[in-house]
Amino acid sequence: MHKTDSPQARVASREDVVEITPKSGRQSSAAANGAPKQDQGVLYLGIDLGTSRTSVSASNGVRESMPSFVGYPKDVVSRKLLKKDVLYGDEAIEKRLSLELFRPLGEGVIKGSDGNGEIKNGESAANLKAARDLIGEIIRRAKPRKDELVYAVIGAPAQASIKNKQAILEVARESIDSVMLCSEPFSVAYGLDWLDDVLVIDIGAGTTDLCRMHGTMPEESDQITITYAGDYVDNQLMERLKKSCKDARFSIQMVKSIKEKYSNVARVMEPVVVDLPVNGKPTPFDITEDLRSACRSIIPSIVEGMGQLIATFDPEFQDRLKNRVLLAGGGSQISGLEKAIEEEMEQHLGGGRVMRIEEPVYGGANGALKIAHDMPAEYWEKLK
Amino acid sequence: MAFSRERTKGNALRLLEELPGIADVVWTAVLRLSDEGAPASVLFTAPEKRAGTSVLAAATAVGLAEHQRVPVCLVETNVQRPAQAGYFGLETKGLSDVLDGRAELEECVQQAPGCASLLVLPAGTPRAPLFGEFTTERLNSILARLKTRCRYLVLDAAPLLDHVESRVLLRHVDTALLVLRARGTRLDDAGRALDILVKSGIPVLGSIFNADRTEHNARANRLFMKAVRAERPRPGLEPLTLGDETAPVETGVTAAERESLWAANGGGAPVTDAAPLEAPAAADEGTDAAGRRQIDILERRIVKLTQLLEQTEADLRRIAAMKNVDLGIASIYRSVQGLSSEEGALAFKRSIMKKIFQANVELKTAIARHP
Repeated sequence: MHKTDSPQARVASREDVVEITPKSGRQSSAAANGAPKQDQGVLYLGIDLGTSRTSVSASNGVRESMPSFVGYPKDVVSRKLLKKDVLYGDEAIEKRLSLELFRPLGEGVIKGSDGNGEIKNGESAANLKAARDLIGEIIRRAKPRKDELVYAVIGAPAQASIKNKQAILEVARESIDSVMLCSEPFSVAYGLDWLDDVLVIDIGAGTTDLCRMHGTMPEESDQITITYAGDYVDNQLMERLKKSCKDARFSIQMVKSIKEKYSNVARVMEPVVVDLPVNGKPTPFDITEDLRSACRSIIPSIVEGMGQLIATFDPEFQDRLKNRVLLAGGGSQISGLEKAIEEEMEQHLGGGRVMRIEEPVYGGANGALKIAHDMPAEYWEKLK
Repeated sequence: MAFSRERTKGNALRLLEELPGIADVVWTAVLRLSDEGAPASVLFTAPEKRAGTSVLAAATAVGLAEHQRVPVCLVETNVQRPAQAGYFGLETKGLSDVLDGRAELEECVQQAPGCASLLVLPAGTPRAPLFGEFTTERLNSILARLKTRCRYLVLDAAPLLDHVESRVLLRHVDTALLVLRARGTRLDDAGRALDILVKSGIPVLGSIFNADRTEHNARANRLFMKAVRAERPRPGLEPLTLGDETAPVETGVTAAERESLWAANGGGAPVTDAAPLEAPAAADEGTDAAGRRQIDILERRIVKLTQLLEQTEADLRRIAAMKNVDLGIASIYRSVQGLSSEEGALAFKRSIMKKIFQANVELKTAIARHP
């Protein structure tokens, strides 16, 4: 693995921030590229637009992540109460009873358009608007200065339609000088400088993206997207709890919170006992087995997808690929998941080694930030 | 001259239509108070007379009734200078008659002609206000009964600084609007009136700067004056002709109220009987024209200075607000970066950057091809 001086490493501590001048050895060839001299500062943003969470890493040291929820007050009364026209993230979830709540991204794409990019109905248009507001908000949270050039790379799902990508670009351009889209799993790998013979598993809420890297830009045949991801686990757990926790009342949001807090696939784990309301009274339920089963439900499909990518890879390098599997995305935070995938690989693929990235939530955004940093000046200029 | 209720009613509504923006801005502001439960109530008042309170209250009530199609009740409480009966062409008996026991409430509440959702309780037979009459159980009962019949209750109150009773009415409403008149209301009077409203504890919805003739209002004013002048020969519009001391008493609109109405609708400089804006036909045309020119010059100067003042105030507000503005956090980079020559696998990464760029160029082209 190459040792790099990545932007996120540089911005990790604001205390040792130093101004990098064109004279430094690290400086780009901007002048040589004929780009206009920029003396007002350049802010790079790496954005991971996810179904469940949207994250941003910026070259000013800001790192923000929020649930991909957008809420609008239901009526005049709620608007007066909330004193806001739009609420985002945790605040939107918390005040959801007073809001028209939107989760504008589903299965990795903006719900506002279908595969051909056609608006289907009013609800879809509302989702598109919510997606626009969400992107605008995550950019605002990066605290860009008005006097700086802002260049951003946004990790977009590989299967997003042109209309989807257009919506993302249009919104981003409202506050960004130049913007590029990039495949999400690729940005994760680029951020870690693992570009050769690596298999990236990016487990999101809506989809799990599997992408093999072999020293070049991944093509369509290098990527597989499956819908066995975080939302699938939520639904599985919901169904199981309905059967095992008789008379208890709970919502999908509650189930999601339980999963995020206790998710585990280990064969031996601490008992998980949660309080669920029965006739209004909190009642303890042991959900250990339900939780483990729900979390494990995505593993067979992931390993099957890995098998497809490995089987179609150069046979000489298949073993190397199997031993360089990177686990990323919010869904990778399930305890014991890398071990469980290795066990499944042992059974079906004859072994392999899986590593979880250090920061699953910011992996995509950090990689996108590094791409933004490394992109030559003339490319940014041409896409303005 | 015989008074025609229908003509006056038509005139009142047309007057509102000729005030582009004013009525709409006010009623939409009041609209935000609406709640599914209790009716919203708003009080219109001014620091002193002739600010145009009555016509703006009427405009708001008509706007709410016409656009919302919900029951609206307009109550005129300035018993000394009634105006609403004249505007809408209604019977003059009203609040003062109910308070004095001369009539029942049901006899006095009238439907505004041409506006089925609007109920009007005029001020009634003109008389001096009586101390404490708005604190009585009778007034409480009147307002409570009216609130059961409407979604919005609009109170047209007498000037705050001249009539102590108007302050008592504040306890009956959800919010208040302060009407100020350009070149008429003194700054310290406006401040005193606002102070009274604030100390009453009710939220102040805002203030209306009436008869403002700065550039953005000039067009609306010109349209209004043109419309009035064009209509003047018609008998039904006689009450609008300023300086016409022979206006029929039956309309319930006094000469002073007519001035107020004129001013409220952008009539221009402060109007007095001695110097009417529109002189009667018998007046000396030459002298009048010279006077108008002089007034015009002075008014233009005032407008220029007012605009300058507004601009300066806006600048000051902006500068003051900047203290709290989040200017963002500066990036660590002062110039565009790119791959360093010391980067490992430089050629490979360059090719990757190029491919990402090309993919985005292709996307841009595809979007342009299918917008």
